[in-house]
Amino acid sequence: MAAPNDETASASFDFEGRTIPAAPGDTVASALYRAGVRTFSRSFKYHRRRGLYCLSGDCPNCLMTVDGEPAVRTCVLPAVAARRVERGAGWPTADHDVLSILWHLRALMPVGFYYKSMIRPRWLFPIAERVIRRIAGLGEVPRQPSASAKERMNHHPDVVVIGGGIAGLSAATAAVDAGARVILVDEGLIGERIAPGRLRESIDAMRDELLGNPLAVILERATAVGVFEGPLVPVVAENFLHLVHPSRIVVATGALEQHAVFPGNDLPGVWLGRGAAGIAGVHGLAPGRAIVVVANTAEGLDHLDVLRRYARQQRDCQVVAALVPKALAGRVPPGVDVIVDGSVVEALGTRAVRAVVVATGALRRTVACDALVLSLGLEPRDGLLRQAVLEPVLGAGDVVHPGCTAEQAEESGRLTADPRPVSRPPVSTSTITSAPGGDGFVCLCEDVSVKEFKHAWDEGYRSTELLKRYSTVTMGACQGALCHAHLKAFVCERSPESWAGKPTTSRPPARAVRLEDLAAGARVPIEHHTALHDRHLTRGAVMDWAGSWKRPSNYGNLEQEYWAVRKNVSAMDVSTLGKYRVAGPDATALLERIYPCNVSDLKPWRSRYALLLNEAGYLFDDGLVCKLGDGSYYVTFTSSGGDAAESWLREWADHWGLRVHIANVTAARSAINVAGPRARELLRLLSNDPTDAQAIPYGGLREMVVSGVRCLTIRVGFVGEVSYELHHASRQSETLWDSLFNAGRALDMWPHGLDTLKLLRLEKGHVLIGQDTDFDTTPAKVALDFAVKMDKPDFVGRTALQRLATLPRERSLLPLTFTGRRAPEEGAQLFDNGTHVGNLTSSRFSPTLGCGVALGWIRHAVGAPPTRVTARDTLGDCEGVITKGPFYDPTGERLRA
Amino acid sequence: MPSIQRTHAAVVACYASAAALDSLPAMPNAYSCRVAPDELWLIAPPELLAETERHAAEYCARTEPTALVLDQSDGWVTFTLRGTEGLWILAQLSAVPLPATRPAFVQGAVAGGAAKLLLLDGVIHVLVPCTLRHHLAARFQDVCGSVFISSTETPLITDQRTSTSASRLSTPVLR
Amino acid sequence: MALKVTCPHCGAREYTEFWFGGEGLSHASSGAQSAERLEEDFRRVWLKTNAAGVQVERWFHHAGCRRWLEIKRDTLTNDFHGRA
Repeated sequence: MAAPNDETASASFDFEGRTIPAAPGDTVASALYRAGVRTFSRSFKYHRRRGLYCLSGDCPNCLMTVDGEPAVRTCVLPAVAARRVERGAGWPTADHDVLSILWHLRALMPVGFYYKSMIRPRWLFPIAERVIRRIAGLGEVPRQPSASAKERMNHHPDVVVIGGGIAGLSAATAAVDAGARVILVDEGLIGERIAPGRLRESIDAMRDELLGNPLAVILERATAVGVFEGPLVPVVAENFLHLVHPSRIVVATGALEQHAVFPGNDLPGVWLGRGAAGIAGVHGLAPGRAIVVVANTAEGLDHLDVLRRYARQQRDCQVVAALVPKALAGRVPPGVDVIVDGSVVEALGTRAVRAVVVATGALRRTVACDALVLSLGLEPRDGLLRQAVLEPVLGAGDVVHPGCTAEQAEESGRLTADPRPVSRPPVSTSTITSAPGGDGFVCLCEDVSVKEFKHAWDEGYRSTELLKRYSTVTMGACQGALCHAHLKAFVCERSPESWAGKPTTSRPPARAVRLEDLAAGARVPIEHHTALHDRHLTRGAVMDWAGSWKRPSNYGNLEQEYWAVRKNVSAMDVSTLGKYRVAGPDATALLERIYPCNVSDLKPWRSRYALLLNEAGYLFDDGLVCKLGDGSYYVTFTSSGGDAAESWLREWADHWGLRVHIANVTAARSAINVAGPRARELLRLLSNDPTDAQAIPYGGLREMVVSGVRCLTIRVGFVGEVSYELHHASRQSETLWDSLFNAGRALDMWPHGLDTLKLLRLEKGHVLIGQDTDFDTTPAKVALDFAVKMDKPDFVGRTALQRLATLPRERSLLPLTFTGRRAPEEGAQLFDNGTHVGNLTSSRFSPTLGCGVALGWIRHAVGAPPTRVTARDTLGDCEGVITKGPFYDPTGERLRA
Repeated sequence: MPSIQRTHAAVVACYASAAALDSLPAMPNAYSCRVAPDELWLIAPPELLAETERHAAEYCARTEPTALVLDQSDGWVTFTLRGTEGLWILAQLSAVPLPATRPAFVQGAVAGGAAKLLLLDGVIHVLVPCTLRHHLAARFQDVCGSVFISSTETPLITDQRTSTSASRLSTPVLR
Repeated sequence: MALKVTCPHCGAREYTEFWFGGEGLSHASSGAQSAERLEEDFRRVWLKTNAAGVQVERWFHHAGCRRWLEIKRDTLTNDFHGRA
């Protein structure tokens, strides 16, 4: 929608092909009304015509699709903000809707009918779904995200005041006077719905003073969506989702006029008092030619005045009758046909109101009219107040004292700044006490009538909660603003149980809000990059997600990468590994008890492959433990587990009361793995430090300077070739990488990415935590029990493993080879003579071995596991053999060279 | 167009007992920021890295030889936001409440990453793990529409008067 | 949900800055091996109290100080009752 720049400029918008001019100050609804539109929507279930009713954004009657967005309240949207408006329902048009026949078929659609009738035949479901979606509903949800996405803005005021009427302004003013930081939010522009006069002047004055106060922030055209735990009040505005984190909340959302329930109460031409007074007094349009006014309150008399004045000036309409209670009868000026103590029994008409049946005592009278204006009393607009069950919330003004005067509202706003401790919000008082009789629509949003309430009651749904769920009353756009009180009154009148009639839970959102808006600023996932990220991009790497990292999957030529590692030399960026320094008096004690392997016998400058088990004995991470010369440790974890490893180490250090220093150096240290039969040759070109098997044996580590970069070099063995993992300062990563590849040109060096790594490690039979393991994998099941020393007195998971050892093993991860034309897909299911025995977790074709190699879970049947299996994937079957691993370099000769 | 400067700062992390860290003498050109009871960072201009490391190491050798002093400078990148514009940018990327006092040290999530905020007069230094430098830059672009982020780093400037008194945000008392 | 957890080092932060570490101190005891200890550890790891009311629990402030905190929370009202 367009941003409203100049409120006083005229504009026009397109309405279903017509151009509708807008006068200054028009809302979309008033402009349409001015142009003669009387049917503003078709109701949800029965497709009844609906006209303007509340003109305050509380009822569903004026909801239309504006600029592609459905269910927009056109009675509060400025006309200048709209370009294209259309009604949501109605076929072929809302004016002539074929589906209005549904009203005449209502006997076939009683309350809850879909629970009973829409069961068979099942083949009808997909068709029925499409049809019902088109028939019911308020319009099409746009499939594309909007062009301009919102961002979020966090605020931390002391107080947030929701509602910029006299009570809200007064509360905000009292709060800033007490030195608090305040945010005041209002759905529209402050004061825009108040007619010029004394009240409007005070409102404008208060607003201007707040605008000049540095402690106050005013957000207009900002809708508070709900009151959440925290407390948190999200406010949706034009460009931002404002997340307000206040210490206290004041709700001053006011009240709306009571919705009246009687047969014909939803016909176009039936207005709430403020609606009719608004259309006449503010927009200068007649609510009808012959108007009947029902004024039960002093405010109602004010509306009557406004209408009479309008009628006198414009001479295009007339107030034909006024229903007032005896107490107010004396205040009606002469010239109006006053009916004392009368009540509306029925509104007659088909397309619109044409007459009203009034009862006074036992007498009935039919008054011809085309507009019925109802001012029966005020109902608090308390949805937000009722949401705040546990939060520090106060109400002020009409929302807690419906019908109070302006002075009373101002006073109640001022009282909210009282520094008393706030606990529970006050229960707001409803003014509706008598249940709806006869018939009539209780819920305009969902087309729920009194008759349906009675049917539901007869069926046994006898509380507000049950009636609500069964009939869907209060579940529509108004969220109970019009109908909740009637629901309660209906139940209270019929049920002696106090719990049955309790208010239903008010839940956010209080107003319709786009999911896209709620996700403002939170759509972007965290993306970690290594220090070599730009280098990978320059080399044309295909980058992909690996956990929360972006890593190179490959550099465009898998074959080249693979053979570089197996025949010459290659390098891989492994900076994503979790890396920690562990030092302090109890460092050895901590690691000895956290890892299932021996740590205390680790000599300086030696490393050991280590598993991490949780207390249930399940494997969840792996890595290296390295002992440094000064007695401290350098430990690594997998890329995805690295972040959580810190919490694991600290948890146990805390629990055992150990004095350790744990420093997360994952970001500060980068690592490059140089691997291949010519790796040593390459390093000799770049370093004066020795790299032979004696200086750094397999599993050893050493400090070296490579191309001027200080590296902790660890001899590792993940891929089955001689490998040196160079751990260095991240700031020097690019320098090191560049020099390695410059010198490596002579050795036919290529980098390798994750795709190649996964193949290389599979050939070596290495298990990938998370891919080959499940959440409940113990080391023995994946042949990693060599890394578990059960004779150690204690380590995390030891007692669980002890317990599990007494149970029979159900399945194991075993190596398999496939000699057919291709390797099966990962995830392929395994069968032994037709019996399902397992699945493949890793599977690739090995260029070196010329066959498929895989790891798979095989169930232990009675006796030994099968020797041959069939792997079935989406492309067919492959025959495989269960072998002993590793497939490549089984003796570890190449690795330990 | 708003502009965000990238700052080069030395970060020396000291891991020792709470008692030892409580008494670590302040340095005239470094901010003492208490990350946790057993972890304290000295944030200083980059040219003072060696001196700062030495200051910490010597103190630890005297008082607690088992303490660990590490140069963590490489692990963090610093984006420097200025003035009300800086606060406006930060409010869109972080729900962490900022104290009114200056200087101040605050820890919490910024754009989803674990950040440390060094709040000085009119300036906020946002330190995030260096693995998130592209992510933060992208998010700054998102919230500003267009913003100029310096491609080179400027050395951290410290205020001698205030640097010695900076400490971590005072602990809220839990009942 | 916008639950705020108060970290004693850093202050009140949204719960998304933390990892929830479970109720109580769920660790296995150290000491001699015995059949009783096996059962005790099993119960402590797998059988949780899941109290409807105030419970002691652990949170890890991963976006801030990266330390564990132990606090008391009422699971019915989400009121925090300070450090455990």
